[in-house]
Amino acid sequence: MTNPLEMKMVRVRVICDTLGTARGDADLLPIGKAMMLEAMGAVKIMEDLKKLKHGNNYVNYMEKFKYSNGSGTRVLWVKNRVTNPNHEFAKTGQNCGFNVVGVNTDDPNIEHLLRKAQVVVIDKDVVDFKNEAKVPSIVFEYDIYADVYAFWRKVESLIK
Amino acid sequence: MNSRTITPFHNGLGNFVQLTPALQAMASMDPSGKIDICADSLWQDYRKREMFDLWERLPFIGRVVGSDGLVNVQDQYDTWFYTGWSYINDETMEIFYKHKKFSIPDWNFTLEHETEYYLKFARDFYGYSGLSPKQVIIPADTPVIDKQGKRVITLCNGGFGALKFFKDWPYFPELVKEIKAFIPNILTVKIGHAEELSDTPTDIDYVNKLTLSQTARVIQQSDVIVCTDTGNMHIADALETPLIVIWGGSSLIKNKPVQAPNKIIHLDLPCQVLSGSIWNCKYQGCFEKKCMDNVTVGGVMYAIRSFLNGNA
Repeated sequence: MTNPLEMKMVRVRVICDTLGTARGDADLLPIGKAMMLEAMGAVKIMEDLKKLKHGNNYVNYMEKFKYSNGSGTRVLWVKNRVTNPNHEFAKTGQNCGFNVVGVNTDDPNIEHLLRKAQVVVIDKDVVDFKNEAKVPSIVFEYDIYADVYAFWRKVESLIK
Repeated sequence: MNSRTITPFHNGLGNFVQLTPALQAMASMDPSGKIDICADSLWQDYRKREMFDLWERLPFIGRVVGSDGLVNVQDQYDTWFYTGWSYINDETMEIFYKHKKFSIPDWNFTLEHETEYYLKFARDFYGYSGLSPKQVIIPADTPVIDKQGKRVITLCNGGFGALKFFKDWPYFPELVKEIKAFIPNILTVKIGHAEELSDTPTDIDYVNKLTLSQTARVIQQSDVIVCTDTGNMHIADALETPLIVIWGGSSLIKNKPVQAPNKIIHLDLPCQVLSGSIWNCKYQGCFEKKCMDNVTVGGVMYAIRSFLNGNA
């Protein structure tokens, strides 16, 4: 069953760096994705638009990688609905030039995102998803990757 | 044999680097194989000293004549190479003007790279018909960086005078932190003038410690240069050292690197001028400087990783 929040849209503004400077045109994302990206530090939902609005449900998922930091190695972070990508890891990855986008395993558009990604990071909670990845993948387990930079170096080593 | 060709010069370091192809073209048509330079005798800022350091190393440059003495030696010259982009004083320029038999093309409408703009003068007005020479800078022999098997990233956050405002990227300290944490076996170096990058700790600090030709030597030994649109960017371009350029308010078409492998980080903001004179840029009166401030550390790191991994 589709999460009703997924059908509602908010306008988000891309946050591009650690200092929180906004840039780029606002764009539309479903609220579920926007909140997830905001949790990762990839976007910030504009305060005046946090009140949910019904409206156009078109989402350009193929363009979604643009929303995190504009350019960078396209990393898809696969998770389930109850877990979030570790904020510190996602933020550090962005600062090192990785364009990190999170997605739930039951997202109907995950196939599109998988084709667009260069590397897939898979939360240990959804480790079985590893077989679905079409590009090099790595299972994320916080206890193993205590050094956040070592983790991203490992991700980089997977890029073809 | 002394050259019988002379050109005036009082301009920026980058402008000079971009002039070197035209100077070589003009020198090749002189029996001496050289071109003399008339330098402004009243030129005071540090760039003049640095220019002399570069000029004395270039084989196609002959003598350097002070503008206050030009009137006394003008009979020694047959060819007065003038491009319209170096102004000295009225009396000196009058000597060049009286030999000029063409109208200066308006840079704002030519949409040319500065190198091509200068070369066009040599071709169209002075009869040069050879191949286009490359930009040339000859570095000093020192300093030699002890790399210890590491790769070298050299940083420069330059810009001269009022132009520095829109050539200044504020996140070099954060960038160095990420470089050192993420990239193994890396040596960070900074170059530049005065207080540039004083807030950015690097493994080697050459800021304000080297002549320009020595700085060129450092650039030559670097694996990649991360900089803004400044004189050292053009030196790196001439030396074909890979460049990552964070581009602000200056003209991209006029000043972009043309010889070195490069990645230009340009946000394509509506206010960023792409062509023509920098003075047409909307940065005039701009206090926001979004073109530089909105370039992210992550975006620059992506470019660095791409270069170092050979994916650029």
